[in-house]
Amino acid sequence: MNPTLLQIDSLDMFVVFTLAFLVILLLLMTMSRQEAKPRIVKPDIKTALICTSCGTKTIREFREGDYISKEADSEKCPRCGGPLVIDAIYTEQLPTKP
Amino acid sequence: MRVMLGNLVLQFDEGFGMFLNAFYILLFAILIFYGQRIQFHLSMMEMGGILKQLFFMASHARKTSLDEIKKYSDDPNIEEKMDRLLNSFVIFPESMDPAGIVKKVEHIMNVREARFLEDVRRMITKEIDESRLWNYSNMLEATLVLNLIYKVIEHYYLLAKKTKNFFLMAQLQMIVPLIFNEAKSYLLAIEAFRLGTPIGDTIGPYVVHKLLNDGKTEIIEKKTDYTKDTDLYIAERNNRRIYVIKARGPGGNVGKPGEAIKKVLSRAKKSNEKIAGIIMIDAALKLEGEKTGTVAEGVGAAIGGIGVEKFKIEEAATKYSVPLYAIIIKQSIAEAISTMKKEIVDSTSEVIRRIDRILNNELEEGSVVIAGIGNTIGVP
Ligand SMILES: [Zn+2]
Repeated sequence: MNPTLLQIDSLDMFVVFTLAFLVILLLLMTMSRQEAKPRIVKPDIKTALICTSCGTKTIREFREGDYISKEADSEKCPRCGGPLVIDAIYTEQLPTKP
Repeated sequence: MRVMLGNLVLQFDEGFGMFLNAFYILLFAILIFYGQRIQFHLSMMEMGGILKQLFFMASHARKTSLDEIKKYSDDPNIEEKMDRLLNSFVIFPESMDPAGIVKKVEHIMNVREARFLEDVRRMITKEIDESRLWNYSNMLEATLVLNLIYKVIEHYYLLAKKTKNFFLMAQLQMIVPLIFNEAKSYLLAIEAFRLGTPIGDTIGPYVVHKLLNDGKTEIIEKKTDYTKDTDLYIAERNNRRIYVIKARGPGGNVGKPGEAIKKVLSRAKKSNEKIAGIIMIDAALKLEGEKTGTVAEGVGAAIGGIGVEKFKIEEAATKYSVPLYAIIIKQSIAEAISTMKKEIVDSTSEVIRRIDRILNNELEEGSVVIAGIGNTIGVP
């Protein structure tokens, strides 16, 4: 008889069934245990600026204090040097997926 | 009986086989009589895990809000004041005799809003600009909701546990995934209010702001605080007089658009001016299969909230028989209360195109009221 083979006497499928049942029960119980502490990811927020004289759009990271139509006085249009106003504030996707 | 596992050989005698037989039958009996109880314990374990996560979220929200407010306050009792605010509640009026209940609800909500804002103001000791104060008030409201979600779920969990009620636990287990997602979106909302970025719900005010500033509209007059926290712009577009209504920004605020529409209509009536229609622009909840930022049109008062403003708009529109048009921008609840998504921003031009089409082709001669409904955070 080959000792590496799992051999089961025909009458005792019971052992296998019982063991399998217990293993499945154990798996279920561990699976239903949820991890505490969900991940909290900060959203990636962009500010789109538009040049009031030539209409060029630039996009940068959002800074606190930004709001729509606010004149960005520290920045100038990269093409013509004109004044920029905030056109939109948005995020590309929600950071946490269910 | 012999069982061979690799090199391991297990040898059982007849007695053991019979014992297993008995054990197996016993197991069936246990499952039949105690199956539900086992299920109950499994559910309880799962709910316990989720409850822990909700607790973590609620306390994270509280800590974020507290840290943010501490930037503008050196009040030593700040935590106590904040917890008092986070545990505050509203008692709705009795509806057994519903006549006149809208007025009562409105009154209570006005008191609640004013008190909430003043409570936030009392927490601040340093100089702060008004719009940031409004944002903080919104932020604390979202924190309050998260706290409330946690407390309610905990209540049902403990109740089911105490009474060993399997069906209560099963009901909780069914509804919790939905509530859990909502709680997650409130966490994002807190972040948006903290930073003062526009949220998905801001699309209404954002569209009318763009409409006023796209170069095709000539603003004749701006009436700040036309009704409480709400601005009115009197303007000309496509050779038509338009009255544009939006909440006062850029602080987080929904204003009183219903009151404003009512006021515009009754004043127009007095001066014999014909109002040809009302166009309302608002964010609306999408169905799961719909794409974010889809624009749809219909009739009726497109406004959410507790119903007071909606009631006023419907009443005024009926009284003066003005047609009510609605344009909605679809989004999920999470998108509506967290920083505006690009798809929603991109729907703006489509909405303005539709407004122009209605103004040019669909309405009779006369002035038109255009109301951008929603929280105007980040949009002045
Ligand atoms: Zn330029």
